[in-house]
Amino acid sequence: MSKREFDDLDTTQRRAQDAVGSLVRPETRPVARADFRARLKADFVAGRLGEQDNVVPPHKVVPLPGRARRAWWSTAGVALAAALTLALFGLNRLPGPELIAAVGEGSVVIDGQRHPANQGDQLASLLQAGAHVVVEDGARLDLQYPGTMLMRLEAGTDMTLPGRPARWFGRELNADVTVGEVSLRTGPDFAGSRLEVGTPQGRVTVTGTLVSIYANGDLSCFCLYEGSARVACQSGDLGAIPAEKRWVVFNDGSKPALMDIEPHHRDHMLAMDEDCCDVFSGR
Amino acid sequence: MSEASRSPEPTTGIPAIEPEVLRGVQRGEAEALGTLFEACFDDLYGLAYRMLGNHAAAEDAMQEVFIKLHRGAGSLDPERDPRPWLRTVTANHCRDHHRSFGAKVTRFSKPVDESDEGMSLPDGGPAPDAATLAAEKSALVQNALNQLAPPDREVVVLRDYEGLDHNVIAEMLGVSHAAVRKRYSRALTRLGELLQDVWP
Repeated sequence: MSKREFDDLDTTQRRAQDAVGSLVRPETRPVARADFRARLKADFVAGRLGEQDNVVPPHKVVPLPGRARRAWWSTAGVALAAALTLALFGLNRLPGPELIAAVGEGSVVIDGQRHPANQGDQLASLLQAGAHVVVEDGARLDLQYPGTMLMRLEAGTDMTLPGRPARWFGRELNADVTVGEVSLRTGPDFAGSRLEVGTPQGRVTVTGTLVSIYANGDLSCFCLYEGSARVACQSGDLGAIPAEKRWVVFNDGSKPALMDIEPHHRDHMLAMDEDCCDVFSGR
Repeated sequence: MSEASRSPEPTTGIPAIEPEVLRGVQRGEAEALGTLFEACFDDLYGLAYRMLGNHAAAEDAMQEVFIKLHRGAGSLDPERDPRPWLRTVTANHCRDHHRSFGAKVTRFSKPVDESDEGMSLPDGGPAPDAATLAAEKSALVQNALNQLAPPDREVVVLRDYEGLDHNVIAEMLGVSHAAVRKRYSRALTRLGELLQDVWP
């Protein structure tokens, strides 16, 4: 059957070459295979082979032709990959914001819908990651991102909430405080994430801490009680905030100032901590 | 024999396919198609069976190859023997099959009719004892071939069963000549070891 070449072969290799060279064409018997051959020929001669499913090998129970079978496996593979990707993205996302408490006589506006602060159920149903929240005078809102963040939005705050935190990838979060005061404590699931909170004057990058962000139109105040956060403004990176200090960034172009923590803001942070101390317990 | 002198053409002794037959194939004439089928099928089936190691997969391969031939019949060059092209199509299909999930399943679910290689006795063939012995030896060799990694098996089959030279194989497989030689040498060594106790 085959032509032989004996050079450069050792005994073992020559044995293999002899063996393969001795192979004969396999018979297209027994009957089942002869039948396949006959039917394949008949379909080929009659020009029916392009029409799939014409020739069915006798061993087949489900007669998917090879091309269709490959297409099926390809489709199944793509579908499986898509499902896994979706599952991965789904599992990656941690829960969004939940209402802990809404107190006071004022109203809260969430994505344009105003409700009295005492209608907690309605407010809770509107809360979602990235929502625009305005806490009007006389109200206060406590939120949590379960396991990740605790927030207190004081009266007069206008902010855009962070998106849903992530478990493995895409762990950068963003929020904006246009005006008002927000106290924020990160939870155990926050580790490894970064939250950037912007104000009209600057931006603080939180990597795990108890902070307060205050903005009133003329200035922004970034207070750090403990942990680590870094502040930047239009003039550049101001660096990390030392514990119990604050960076104050002014709207009129004055030089940013590093000062002792504002007692009023510290009290608000500690009050939030005390009021919501059990939120992260047991995690 | 030097490699350069080895022909890449089939070595089965089947006469060349007449251009007139191939023109008939182009025109879709039944008689020409039947002639071409008879000229090609057994060789291609043998190649597929040796490369794939089982009849079910070889039949799948044949169906695919003849569908391709059917679709490409109009563009055949009547002056060129289509068998080298068909052999390449067959080999490529076998390689695709090895990479497929279906092939991995097949390796763990060998059909029950795979032990009958050569057991039928063609008219005028050798005496039953000799035929049985040859069939057993053939099955042993095929079993040993099946134990090679598919890339190693294909190069041995193309080289020693089909009689192709390394250059042609390299072109068919899209790898370098040196790579083919290295793979061939490695495969022969492994195959020889597998056959040590059963082949003189």
